[in-house]
Amino acid sequence: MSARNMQVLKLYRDMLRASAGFQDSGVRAYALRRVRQGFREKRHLVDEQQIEAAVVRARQDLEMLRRQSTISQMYPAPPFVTDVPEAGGRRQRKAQGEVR
Amino acid sequence: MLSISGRAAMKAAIRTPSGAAWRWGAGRLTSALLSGRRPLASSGSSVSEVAPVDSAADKHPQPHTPPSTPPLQRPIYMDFQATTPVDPRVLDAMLPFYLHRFGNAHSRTHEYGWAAEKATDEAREHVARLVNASSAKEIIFTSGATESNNMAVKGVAHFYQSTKRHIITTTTEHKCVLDSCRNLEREGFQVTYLPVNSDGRLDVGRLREAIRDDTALVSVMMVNNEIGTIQPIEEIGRVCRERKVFFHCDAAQAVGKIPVDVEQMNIDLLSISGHKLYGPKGIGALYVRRRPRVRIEPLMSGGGQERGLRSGTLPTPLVVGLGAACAIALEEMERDYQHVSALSQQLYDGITSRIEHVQLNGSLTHGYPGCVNLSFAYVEGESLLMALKTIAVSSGSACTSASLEPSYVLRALGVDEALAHTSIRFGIGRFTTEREIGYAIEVAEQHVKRLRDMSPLWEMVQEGIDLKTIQWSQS
Repeated sequence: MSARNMQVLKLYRDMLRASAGFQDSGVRAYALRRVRQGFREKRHLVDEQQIEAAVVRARQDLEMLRRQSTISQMYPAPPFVTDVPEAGGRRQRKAQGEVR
Repeated sequence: MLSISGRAAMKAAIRTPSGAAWRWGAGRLTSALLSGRRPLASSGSSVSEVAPVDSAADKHPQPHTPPSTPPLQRPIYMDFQATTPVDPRVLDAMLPFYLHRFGNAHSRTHEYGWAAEKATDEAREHVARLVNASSAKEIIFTSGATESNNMAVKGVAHFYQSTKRHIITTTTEHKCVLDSCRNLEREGFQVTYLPVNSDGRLDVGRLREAIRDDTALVSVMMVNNEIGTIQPIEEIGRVCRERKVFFHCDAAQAVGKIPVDVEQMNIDLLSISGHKLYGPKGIGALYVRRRPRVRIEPLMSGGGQERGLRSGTLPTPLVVGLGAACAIALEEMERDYQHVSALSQQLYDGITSRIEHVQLNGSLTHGYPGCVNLSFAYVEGESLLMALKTIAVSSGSACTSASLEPSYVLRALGVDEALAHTSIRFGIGRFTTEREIGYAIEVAEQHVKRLRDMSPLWEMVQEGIDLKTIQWSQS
């Protein structure tokens, strides 16, 4: 696997992890869906310049996801009636004080 | 011995509703949710955890009592026509302007002001690009679509009042357009309120006939806020351009959701709202065409900001938020539309296949899928709305949701009075999930069945009695 592939794969994982941190299950589902979609759409890029632009953009988006998911955890809301307790994952439960 | 008494105490604690740990579990899982559980959305482990709670809850039913403590759960949000949550990307763009980038965009003497002005200029570009305005100068920031609509309708009427005294609009417009027209009528203007077809669409032929030599403005909305009907805007724009009448379009529900192109649609004035496209509340915009020039009389007098059309300091964070929301909407429109229409189809199919006598208000072929307005026959509307308290829905417009009167939009479509009383508007948006749609279908089915089972009217319908033939008074 090339260095570029590794870099993109790491970005993808980091973005998914940051997206999973959103407190609101609707926003969380959207963020996860959008990150997957975004990477899938750009999977066939070959032009090095285009790839570089996409990577730069993804890095900015990753920072945004980290900031916003953190903020969402600072202002936790009651879960939706459709939320199942474990759906939030460890990060959300941590935000609610359920786990350390 | 000790262990037995311990177990008994634990049992007692479980049975009493005041047991904190127990209550938390029960509060989170209403019986409605459990019956609404569908295999597609839930993992196996959650079901097995949930099952014992369900059977215990049946032994101690406490239905429909409002909780005295703050809610441990919140209803799912299905009212995207009333307002949308702020997209995290929008908030991310706004926050610096609530922190260190607080300058006044009109300050010309220092860096704080320049930075703010640069940001508002960029935002203006984003808004202009989304509606394909030829120049960012054509975008005027306002406090929201209500102000934009007032400004357009009253502004054009007042500016050209010496020669033109006639305005055309439709009966299903938003209250702020209709009320602006009423005010103009009081000032001596004449207003024609065109009727719409049963699907909410305006007949363009009718509009053509209604235009007079002294018609100043035609105002038609793009997407109806209650029923989601999309008007034939391009044809209306063509007619208006032919007859040299200004065309104002209230696109608060359309911008960012369906393609809006002021050039292709020949729109002269276009109202935009921030909080309907995942932006902040308290901001909107009005597109005012420069070529051929549309002149309007401003509502506000003051420092002459926004080309003298709307005085007042720009709320930089909100303007930046609207700009970001527009940029995101342009990028996400196709993806959002796919998502929303798939869920919309699922909701409509689910409800109509499980509940009989459901009527769609609006247009199947010319409707925005994110707005599903349904009437449930033989059910009392208010009771249904109360029963659906775990789903944040509305019977129609948020502005009129306090009154018990049926919606004037549904009446304008010619919807039967009884059916107009039982309408529910389901709004679907970017953050709606498949699980929420499934839940909404389950809860709607359950409560419509329950309410019908206690309705004498429903009993008669089941016996084959035509309700229309009954003489209710005994005179």
